Amino acid sequence: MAGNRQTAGSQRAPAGFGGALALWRLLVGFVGGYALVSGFVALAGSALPLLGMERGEALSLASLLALFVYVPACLFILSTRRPWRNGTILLMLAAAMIAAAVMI
Amino acid sequence: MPRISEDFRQAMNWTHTWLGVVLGIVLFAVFWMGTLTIFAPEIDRWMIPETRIAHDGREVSYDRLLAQLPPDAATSDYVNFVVPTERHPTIGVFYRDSQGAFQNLLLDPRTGAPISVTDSHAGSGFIYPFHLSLTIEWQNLGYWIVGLAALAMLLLLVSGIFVHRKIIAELFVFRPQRKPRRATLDLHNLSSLVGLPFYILMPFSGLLIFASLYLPWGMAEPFGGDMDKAEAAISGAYDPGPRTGRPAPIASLDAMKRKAEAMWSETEGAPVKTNILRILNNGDESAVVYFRNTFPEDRVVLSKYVAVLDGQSGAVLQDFVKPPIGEASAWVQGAHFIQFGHWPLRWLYFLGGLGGCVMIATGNLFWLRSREGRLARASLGYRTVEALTIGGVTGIIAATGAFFVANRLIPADAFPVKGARADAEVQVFWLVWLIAFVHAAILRERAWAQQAWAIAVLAIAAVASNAVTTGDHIGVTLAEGEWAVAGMDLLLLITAGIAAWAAIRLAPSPMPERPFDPMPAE
Amino acid sequence: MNMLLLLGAVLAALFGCALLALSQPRHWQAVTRTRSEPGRTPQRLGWLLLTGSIVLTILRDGASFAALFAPVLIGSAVLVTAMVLTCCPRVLSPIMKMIMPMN
Repeated sequence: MAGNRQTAGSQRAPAGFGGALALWRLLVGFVGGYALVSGFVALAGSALPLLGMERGEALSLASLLALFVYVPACLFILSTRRPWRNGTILLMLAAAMIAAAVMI
Repeated sequence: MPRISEDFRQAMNWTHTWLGVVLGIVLFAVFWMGTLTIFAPEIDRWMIPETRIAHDGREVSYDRLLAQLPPDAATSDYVNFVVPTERHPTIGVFYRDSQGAFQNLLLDPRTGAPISVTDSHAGSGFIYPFHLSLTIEWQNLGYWIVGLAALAMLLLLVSGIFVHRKIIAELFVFRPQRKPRRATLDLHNLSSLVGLPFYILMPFSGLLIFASLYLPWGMAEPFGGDMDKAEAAISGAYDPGPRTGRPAPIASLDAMKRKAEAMWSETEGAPVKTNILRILNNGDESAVVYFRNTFPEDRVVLSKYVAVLDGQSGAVLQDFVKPPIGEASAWVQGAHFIQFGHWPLRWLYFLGGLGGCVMIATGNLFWLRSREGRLARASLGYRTVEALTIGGVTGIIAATGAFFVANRLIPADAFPVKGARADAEVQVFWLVWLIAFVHAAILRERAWAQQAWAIAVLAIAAVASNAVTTGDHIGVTLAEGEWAVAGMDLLLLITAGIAAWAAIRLAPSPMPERPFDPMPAE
Repeated sequence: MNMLLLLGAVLAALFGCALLALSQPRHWQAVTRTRSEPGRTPQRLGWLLLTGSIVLTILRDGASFAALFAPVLIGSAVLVTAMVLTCCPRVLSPIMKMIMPMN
């Protein structure tokens, strides 16, 4: 722990944040997160009306919740110890949501 | 706080550091202009002196106004009136001219005649759009940059709580007498924590306001990809359809306005007034009149009611009331716009905005100060961040001051590089800001004090030029209760005082080279 | 009435934050210039006053405005307290003397 102490302002990237890995984290976090949140809003807006909610209300609810999906997803990908695996899962989840929204 | 792993903390640290360094200056610009936007109507009064009219609350007849409009506006197919209020004493008219371009007019509430005003974008036309989009219109790029910065701000706030872990225990701690690095960090932590709910609400609600711009596909998809339908369901937008081509006069706007307001007040159980009165397909048989209570005085929720009445019969074509979740969303959005009449809250928002500026500036400063005394100080990265921080903090404030001074000094018939006189003011802003970055890049930390002096001088010059060009000096405006102008002048004087004090404090003293000692960012 | 409620909310927020600061040994010792412990009273009273401040803002404007007003008001009160503790902590000693007997 002691040898591991990171100071704000140190220039060396911590483990798990070397070149390609950092880029992957940022890309999946921001761009993949964007796809995820688009899929989430579209899916919630399309699926909740099936349960009887008014369509406009479903969309309002989805847009209110959007950042509660985006921000944690982004932070998760930025901090996970298994960025390759979890990043891929996030991208697949986003694709699944988008596909489900289109189909409903 | 639950135990968190060292890996996680490091990841948060990395995120916090680099998002802050890369987007800090954009965030500062957005926060600074957002803080000023709180007082955009007052800035408008100051920069467009012809609109310094006392609001007497008299009833305005929109039938009479419509009849009096200049021909180009009166025959337009789209005429929009903005009802005057205490803070916007003139009647705004927004219409589509015969060439299809949108035009603005300001009407005197006493006579209904158009006022010939100083050609200035002022607060509502420059500072406010800058807050939303940095005024980069191309492909909505500016909106996307600001949106990314807002998202980054939320990430920074969450990660910051993990990085600065002692933040709660040291809630009341500020030690300016300590080493600059320690004091900067204290100030960063203090300003972050005192405004935390506000800082979370601002980017959250700001992004929500532009949900359909930021998520064009996701928001339209539930309505089969038709954003107009989505907007209609969420906000009561109304499409009158194409014109029939058969001309017909419009019925009484005043009667329709009373009808809409009575309908709303009954639903609400309290008086509800309209802010927007918009004639669509004007002059045609298909004309409709659209009413909306965009910014109510006495509640946070905005645009809860939208009524559309038939232009000839006055029959109600649409009576839109925000449903519960829509109303919750409108509350969050209203909390960002703060157009309601609550002065204590408005001033606390102003303080919160300035607190946000302090938080962002000290964050960047801490990044720089953690690297002082090292070889890194000479590196390109350090010098870039240094120049961006100085130019981004004192530079944008000085540029804003120059914008105000230019407003008072540019003659009405000025020939700017491109566009109208109003654009010349904006060009002065950008030019001064650019110079500030170059100045900071060349002079490095000596630029702080010099730019602080520039702010002080520009603020005084703004007050003086207002007094000289309009005659409304502080003595007059205070005596007459012209609070918008008096408040602006007083804030400028306070700014000058603080800037001068800071300039003296910031004046470079011979600094001994300190050996670098690492300090955790707790 | 509105003005009174506002004043009450502001004062309750300021004193509440001052007491919460005093409940931390670091500040208590700076104000008392002793090595004594603050005890439980400042903390309890501080939270009570902050709750009171929130109630007053709700009474004044209703929950819709209070949800915005109370957080920024209390945040500003924290800022003021921190500034007072920085420049002149002894200003808080009357408060300390008032609650001493309650300990």
